[in-house]
Amino acid sequence: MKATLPLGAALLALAALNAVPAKAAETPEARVIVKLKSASPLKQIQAAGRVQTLGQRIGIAAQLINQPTPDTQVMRASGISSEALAARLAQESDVAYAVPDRIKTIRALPNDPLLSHQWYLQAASSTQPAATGAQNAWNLTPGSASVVVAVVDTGVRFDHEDLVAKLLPGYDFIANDLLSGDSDTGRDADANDPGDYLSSADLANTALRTLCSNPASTHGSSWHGTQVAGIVGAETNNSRGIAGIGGATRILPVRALGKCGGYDSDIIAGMRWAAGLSVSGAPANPNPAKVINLSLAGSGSCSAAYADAIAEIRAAGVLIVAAAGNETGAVEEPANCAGVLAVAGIRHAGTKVGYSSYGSQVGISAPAGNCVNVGTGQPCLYPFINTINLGTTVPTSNGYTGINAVTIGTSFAVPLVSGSAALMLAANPALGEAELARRIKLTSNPFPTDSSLPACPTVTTDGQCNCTTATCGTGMLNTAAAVAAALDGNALNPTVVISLPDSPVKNTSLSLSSGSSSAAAGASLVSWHWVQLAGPATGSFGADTPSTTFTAPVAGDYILRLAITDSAGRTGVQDVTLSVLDAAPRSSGGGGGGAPDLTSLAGLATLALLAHRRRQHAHPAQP
Amino acid sequence: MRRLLWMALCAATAACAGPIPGTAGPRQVIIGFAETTDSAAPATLTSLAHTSQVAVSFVAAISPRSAAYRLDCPPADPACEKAIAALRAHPGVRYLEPDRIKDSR
Repeated sequence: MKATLPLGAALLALAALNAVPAKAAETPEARVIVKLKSASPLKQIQAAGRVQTLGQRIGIAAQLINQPTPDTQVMRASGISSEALAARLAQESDVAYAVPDRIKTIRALPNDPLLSHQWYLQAASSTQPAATGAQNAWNLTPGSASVVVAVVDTGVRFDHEDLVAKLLPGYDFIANDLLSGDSDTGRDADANDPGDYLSSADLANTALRTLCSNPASTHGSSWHGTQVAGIVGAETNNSRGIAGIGGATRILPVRALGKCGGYDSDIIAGMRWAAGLSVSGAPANPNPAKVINLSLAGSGSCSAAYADAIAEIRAAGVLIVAAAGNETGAVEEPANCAGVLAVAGIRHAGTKVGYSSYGSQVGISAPAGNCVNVGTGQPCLYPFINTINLGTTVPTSNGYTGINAVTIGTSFAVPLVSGSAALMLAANPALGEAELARRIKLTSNPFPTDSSLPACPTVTTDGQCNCTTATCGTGMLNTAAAVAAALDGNALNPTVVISLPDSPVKNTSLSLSSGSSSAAAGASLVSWHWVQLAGPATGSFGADTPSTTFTAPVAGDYILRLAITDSAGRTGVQDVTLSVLDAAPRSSGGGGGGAPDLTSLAGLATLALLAHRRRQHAHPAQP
Repeated sequence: MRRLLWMALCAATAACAGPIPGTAGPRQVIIGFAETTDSAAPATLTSLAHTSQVAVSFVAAISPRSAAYRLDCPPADPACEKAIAALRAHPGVRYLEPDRIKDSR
């Protein structure tokens, strides 16, 4: 049936359509990401209540949108711009930061069809506590094309449809033509991966056999660099394949591994070039990286050659992230070099995956892929889904590793960390490499414990163990928290914890202590300053030391503050309320027997109330 | 200047006076120099060969003060160990490390 509208109705409809955008333009809608300070009293209530209260303080009706991390809320309000709302919230004394949420289109998950299989990007949960929460981090930043991650590896397939838009021209640093296996001579500007397969003809070549330590058989191509590059930066929200953890991050492919691997000399030269340092014979790198991903390793302690280069690269402000190794043993080179952020591999459950190397040099752990209940015909339940070429030797068409494929290795844990660092730099480009590493470590989730496993370094026959901070770094990578910490200038301040006396009485020397306070990784607590902020009278403190005394002249509530400064000059502050009594409560011990009288019951109730209040004030960080 | 420094260092060692033996079987090493050095220059290679008493070929540059070289001696040959020890002892050499193979993990 043909429909015909009268002219008047059509004009009215057109006018109504035109009115919608006009009205929207006149009523701004604000979206702001806000984080509360650790001492904020609002942390004791639910996120929706926090947002509502913040709005009431500044006279607007605010609503919670979501809560990317326990301390961070995304809120909305009408009638005010995002910038104005953020500015007003930032003036609140208990707000750590407030920034406009400019990424409205990212609220929905990216449309990459394999994203649902990328379990390691999802929020941590009871079934997969090792997941990184990267999807929540994307609510804080979509990443930035100005942040470059170098993947020093086997090269990449530049024609992969999920990578092509993200790849920068790289360089091939493989000097040995036998290892390189491409048609070029020596180092060259083509970082394409021709395949690292070992053929029968390769095995027949004595020189190559020697380089490869006399392998027993041929093997196919790994397309390792293409896989690693995809974990960092596969194009996101492009209706294809997978999503890279780094969002808009760009990839600089540096080819240093060929058949059987690559020489240290080529890897180091590639690392230096990636960081923008000069390498004789190679042109200057027009796109220096801020993060270098090393999903490679070999036996040996850290050599002077690596140590030298790492010092130069760090001085250039570039973070180096490296695989601990797959040897169920000591951390390998170059991850064992000082200044490198070494990554150990954990299972989805958060315990050390059997093959991962471990030790004191590890800085952080991240999912490395693991298979559960693998038997004949059964899938590998927690693998990585990676970009890859489908050729068994030379390249053919491109695709993805299967959701049932055994795609595992500390190689794949490293790009999760590198991509997280790239997101952090997108959120805060001013962060240096040491600050990146510190924040990644500081925000990591604590390791879970499986009662059936020993604590590392003791391992089961298949290499598994419960991670400890002495063997697997500070914890499990938490990308969302790391990005939030990148935005938070106070994230590395000392954590101040004050312990109060049980029954404080006036005119007595009351003991206060802060022994449970702590500094961020790499720093130590150096000075303490106690002050009284409020109270019925002015009390007196002992020395400005971790533990001190306070004498209150009269009973009542005293608000006390302790400020602790660390060796990096950062200061953490905590306020507590000390409820001082006129006299010590009567002891309930001794004498026994008779039923309590009403006066005693009232006294007990008062004490219980006071104790409850003291707990609330002494530990405001606990929601 | 760089070549002069290296040649002066070389001249101060007895090794420079000896022959340059060549043996089969390469051994690849990374040499870190005390100062910026033209690592591929013939004079540098000659000086390294004189010091080590084995033929030395340039492989690839790493930095202005380091490069990979191939020592023309079998890894198991005691003469190769002597060559490495001589190079390490040279004041113009800050470090000498084996150029090992790393692999993807």
